[in-house]
Amino acid sequence: MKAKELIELNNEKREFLNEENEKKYDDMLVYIRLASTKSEQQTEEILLELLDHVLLAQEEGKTIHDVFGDDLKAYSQEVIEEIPEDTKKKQVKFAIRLIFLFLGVTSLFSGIINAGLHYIFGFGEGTSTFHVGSSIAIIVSTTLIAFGMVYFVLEWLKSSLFKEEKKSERKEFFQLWIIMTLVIGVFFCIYYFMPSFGAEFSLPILVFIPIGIVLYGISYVLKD
Amino acid sequence: MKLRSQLLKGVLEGCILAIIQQGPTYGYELSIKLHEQGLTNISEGSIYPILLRLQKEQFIEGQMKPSPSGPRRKYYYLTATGQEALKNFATHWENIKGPVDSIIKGGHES
Repeated sequence: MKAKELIELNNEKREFLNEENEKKYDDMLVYIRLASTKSEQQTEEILLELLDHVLLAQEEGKTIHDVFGDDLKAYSQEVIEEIPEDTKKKQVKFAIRLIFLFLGVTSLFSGIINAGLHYIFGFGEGTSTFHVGSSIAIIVSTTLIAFGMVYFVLEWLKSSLFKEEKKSERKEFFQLWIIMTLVIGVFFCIYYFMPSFGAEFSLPILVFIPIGIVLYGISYVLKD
Repeated sequence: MKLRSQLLKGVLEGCILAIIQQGPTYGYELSIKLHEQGLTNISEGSIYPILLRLQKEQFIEGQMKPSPSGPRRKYYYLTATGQEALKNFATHWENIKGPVDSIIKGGHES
């Protein structure tokens, strides 16, 4: 069975858990899935086994704590440590795919927004002028920040699991909002304050739309 | 009980190999069998990290198969390397069991 089929089977079976067990199993599932460098196949196989076990134990009136102990986070960590690592090749492919995806989406949207502003509202110019050096520096630094952001969100998600009482949603939303605003601010600062260096060249803004589509297409092809 | 001790982990690995040798077994069944043999102070879930490790070392292999009661389960089989590992474990255990027993009992008597 492929990982995708295992995930579907897991989704179907999870509905048979009672409320308490489901809430706690879900936390384990998310926590174990977020261990991103592990083999997806092995991860899904063990997740389904753990679910099967809880389901059978539930029929006998046992709770998830009777099966995995009091500290579900420590138990999940123990499981994660034994799941084989994904091959380096797959990890690199995944990272490259994310880079293409990020650059593709950025290019597509900046193309659409700038073209819209220029051709519909008459703002800005029909061509953008770049400096090779600054452009490369901007692309590299924003890509690194985007990766840092993904890492941060994953850690943030992990920290919100296995809590008896969930943090207040309003507070969490506010925290996330501030952080997102800061990151977007940093993106703009990099863009505006990057000194111009390297050879100069101009491109019509419409070109960014097909470039974006091509980059997105590459990321899609890399999706196995 | 958590499996903090390496000794217990090693012993449990040997026991799991021995049970799987008797025939293909799935996780829940395995934990029941360990309990029936009297290993009742081991939490049911503690077998899964061990099963993962035994697979990594290629002592056992998992296969999704329909169970007699219907749903497909992951059954574990012993590999040739696993047979060898089990044999080694049995020998080590045989060598250590007697001496450890007599040392502990001797300590009590004196």
